[in-house]
Amino acid sequence: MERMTYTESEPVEELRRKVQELEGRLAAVEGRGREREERRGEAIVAARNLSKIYGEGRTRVVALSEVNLSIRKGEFVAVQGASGSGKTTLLNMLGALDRPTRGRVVIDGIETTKVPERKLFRIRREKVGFIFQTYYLVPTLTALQNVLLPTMPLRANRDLRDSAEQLLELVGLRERMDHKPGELSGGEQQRVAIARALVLNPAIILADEPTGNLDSKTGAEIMDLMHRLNKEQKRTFIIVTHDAKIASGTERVFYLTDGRLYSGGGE
Amino acid sequence: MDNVEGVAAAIEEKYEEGTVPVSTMMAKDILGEINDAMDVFQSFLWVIAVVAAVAGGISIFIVMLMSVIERRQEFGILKASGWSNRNIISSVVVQSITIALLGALLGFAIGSLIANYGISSYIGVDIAIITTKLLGEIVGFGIIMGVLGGLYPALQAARVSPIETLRAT
Repeated sequence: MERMTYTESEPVEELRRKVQELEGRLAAVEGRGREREERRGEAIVAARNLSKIYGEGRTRVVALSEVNLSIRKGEFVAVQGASGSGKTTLLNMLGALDRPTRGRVVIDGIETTKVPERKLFRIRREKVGFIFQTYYLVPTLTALQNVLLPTMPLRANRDLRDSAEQLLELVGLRERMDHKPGELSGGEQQRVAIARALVLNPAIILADEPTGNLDSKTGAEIMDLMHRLNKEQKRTFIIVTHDAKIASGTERVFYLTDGRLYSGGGE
Repeated sequence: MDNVEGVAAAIEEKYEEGTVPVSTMMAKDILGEINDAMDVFQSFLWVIAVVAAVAGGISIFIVMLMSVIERRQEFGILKASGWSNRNIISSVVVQSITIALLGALLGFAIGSLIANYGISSYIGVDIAIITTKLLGEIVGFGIIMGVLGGLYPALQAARVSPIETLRAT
């Protein structure tokens, strides 16, 4: 490969061209690596050149720009960024809740960006589990019924009920499975939301600021629970957070700034 | 008794020249008048029933629409959890049918009690005769009202965008 050098006398334009060329080569190398990973089936979720642009002309906002990402099965990664950096937008794209303007997303071997809108529910049902900052439990249902929510359109299945009860036991809420969300603390509600995300055994679990509404002690307990699920059950977690402390506890951190994703290493 | 009309004509003819005017009326003429009056009454009841049905259908529609608007976030969660549009439409329509059926059966029960134990005791005639066919018609009517009242709200629920509803809170 040609080696590039820089001399102070070089014009700025020439220097800029070299930087662009180097960035292009780096992207190509990274891309080949990712393709190899995807081909080997190691990447459970991958995003390639993902962009999301809202509006046109003067109202045009680039929420995500050429994002590339590859996450292996059983990894626990964090996407850290300030408010408005595009974290939730990225999570929505990875979770098949929203469509990118450009680029593609592959989850467990399925290119979700090619799946027709009317069939996307299957991806969300079978491949993705969501955990939200504000839990989003249905207030009129009990903890057990909330966990069973994703299974309700499926045929009544005794195994699913057993599985939901086991998950509630796993998150330490077996004794409170008949309680409604209003009778549970914030931490307990988030545990129910975690159990709900796991009930259909999805390929990836996407958590959007999962500790954002909790005090630091309860937040740490929730993170411990997710780490335990990752270690013991090899569940793949992708969490987005603005909190550097939360992010630092994960295997790998990506940084999102103004819609651009930077890898923090740690592989 | 075979020639009632002839007897009536003979009576009228016999007293035609008398000082007191005499006229005859046969039972079948009276029955005809009663039947005409009952037909008018029946039509009136039908009009009331149709107005009640339309009002009931509109009530179900409004209740279901308000419920769907209030539960937008819930539908957002359901969609994020993997519910299809069809699942959501079915769920809302089933709820609507349940409300309509309960309303129809409750209305039927209350109406039957008032008719058979209230009005009938005054006039001495059973005016509400409950048959399996009538019960079937009420159940069918309830289902149709439930579907008609719940379909539009169900479509609205299916149109909910999960990212918009979950972002809004």
